[in-house]
Amino acid sequence: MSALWHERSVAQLAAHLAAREVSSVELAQHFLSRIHGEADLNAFLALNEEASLAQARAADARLAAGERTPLLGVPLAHKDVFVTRDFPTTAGSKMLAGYRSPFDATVVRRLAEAGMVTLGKLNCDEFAMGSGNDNSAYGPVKNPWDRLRVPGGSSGGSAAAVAAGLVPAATGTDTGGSIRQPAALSGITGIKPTYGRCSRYGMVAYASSLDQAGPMARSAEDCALLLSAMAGGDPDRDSTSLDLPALDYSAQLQAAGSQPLKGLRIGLPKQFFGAGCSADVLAAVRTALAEFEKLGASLLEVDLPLTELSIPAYYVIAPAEASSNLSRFDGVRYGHRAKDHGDLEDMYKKTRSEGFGAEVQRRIMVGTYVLSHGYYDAYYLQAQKIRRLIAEDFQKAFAQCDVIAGPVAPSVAWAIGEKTADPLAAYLADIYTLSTSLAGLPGMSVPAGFGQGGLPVGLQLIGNYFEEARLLQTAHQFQQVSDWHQRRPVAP
Amino acid sequence: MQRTGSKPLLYKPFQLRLRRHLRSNEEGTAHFRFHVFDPTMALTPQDIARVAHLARLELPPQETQRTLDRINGLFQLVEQMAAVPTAGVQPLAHPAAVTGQIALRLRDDVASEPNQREASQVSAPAVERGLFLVPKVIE
Repeated sequence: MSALWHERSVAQLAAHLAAREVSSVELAQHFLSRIHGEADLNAFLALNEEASLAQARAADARLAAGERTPLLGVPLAHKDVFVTRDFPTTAGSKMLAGYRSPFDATVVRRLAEAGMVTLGKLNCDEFAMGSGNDNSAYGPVKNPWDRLRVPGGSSGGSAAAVAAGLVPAATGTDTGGSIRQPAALSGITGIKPTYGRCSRYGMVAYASSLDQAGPMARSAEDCALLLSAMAGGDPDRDSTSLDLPALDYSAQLQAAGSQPLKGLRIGLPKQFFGAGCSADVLAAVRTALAEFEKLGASLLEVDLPLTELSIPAYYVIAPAEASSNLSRFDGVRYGHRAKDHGDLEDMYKKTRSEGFGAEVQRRIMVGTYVLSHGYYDAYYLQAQKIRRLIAEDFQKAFAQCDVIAGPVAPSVAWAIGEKTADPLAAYLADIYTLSTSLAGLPGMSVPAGFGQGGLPVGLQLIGNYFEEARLLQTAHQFQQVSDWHQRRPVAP
Repeated sequence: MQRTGSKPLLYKPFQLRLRRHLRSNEEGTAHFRFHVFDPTMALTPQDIARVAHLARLELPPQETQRTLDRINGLFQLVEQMAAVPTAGVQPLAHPAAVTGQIALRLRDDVASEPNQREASQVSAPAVERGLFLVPKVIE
């Protein structure tokens, strides 16, 4: 049985640990050996086996003392934008090569306190800017379903590691779709909570009014377990974190009867089902939606008229915030500093041009431009006004329905390098995830079948503010009657 | 104790300075003029150079054209926003404004973190006696 630990869910592993059928150290060793065996995926950027095994021994001691909490002793890995004391943090950038944080991010600390064992740090697009994980300074991550294709991004290492069974769960961050889209392209489950649900303290900032942490795992059940531990106010350290009581999302997954979703109204935005979406993705999404109907849900059309404009609005607002956030990388306090330089200004310029990759530099320049004199009103303020209209449109839709559903991405995973030369094509592929991010709403991706080339398709579920429990329950009920989330890529 | 409430965005002396500047701009006596804005105009290589300088980036000459093309590609998309009627719409800067969690929290003004100077400077490129070293600023 030990060879199969990587096929178990977080919930199952916790049960085996609680029954003392396996130790946390044994699990850590099993998954670490799988990580070494799958180095070809390039999912991991840093390991520290000594620290991981020390955490596992501490979890075993808590188990031996009789403690039984839902995540105690279960391994996971963190996207490399969460700062960690035990591992270097790079955010996928040369700028932070070798950086060691003096503290743990709040999300990292909370999961460690819950007894989870950190196995390492996961590759991602540089500063989380990208949707293919091909913008990492440490090389692209491969999709375990087809190693010539991207796993999605920016949390591509997280998605690939979970899909390949290198960890049972991982953390991710989502600014414009960076949890949902890689979850969809890699065939796993992921949830971006309401903005502010998880503390941003210790998350390397990209666009602060959009960034949000969330769990990525096989199933909604596993995501619920992780989110219950990750979420919660952090008022002294993140003034934008929601000061709401912690919730047990696992306790709210169940629903009774043969039609557990009876009465649930699912809104389908007509803009999500148009010509822009490829036929294989639409077919899988529609088949999945028919399952929701069988479970008792009703489907209706809703209107999100500004969906297309979410792309320019996002690609003004996010770079504007990034240009401000990334000004901290100046070669003085941490990170890279150019070797040959003249005066202070020359040092800044050479350091930043050497340390940042091309896409990050472009976004910094776009952000600088839209915030500059004479352009602020036409670009930045106009984008913020459209952001308001998008948020209002969602509220009009939620007056008619309880949950919104559609595709996560307009196609299955594309070939590595295919969109590198044409960043705009990659931006356009973010169309179904950006509006949710701009509004600050919770959204998730649920495995919903396979499209062209046998590649995974994700169904997106969007909830109203604070309705993560409803999303997770809806997804969980679907996963009781479907097995897409249990499919595994064939090992090479 | 948590305090809530809002503070003025700009301190008064700065507000006055800004107002004076705006007035002199109208009169044409300001140190710098606001750019004449034409949203249909694509960016020029000069714009790219100016923006790169503002962002403290050094763009190699061979990269300027490629960067310009890509940024102009994005701005063709961005220009579409101009067609959306937004008169009277309040800009939404932050989702907190719609989730009802708008009040900015201020924590008590007490030190809550231990002194971690050494740990914080472990990753600094150049440090001496607890100070960050930079190239000479004043001759």
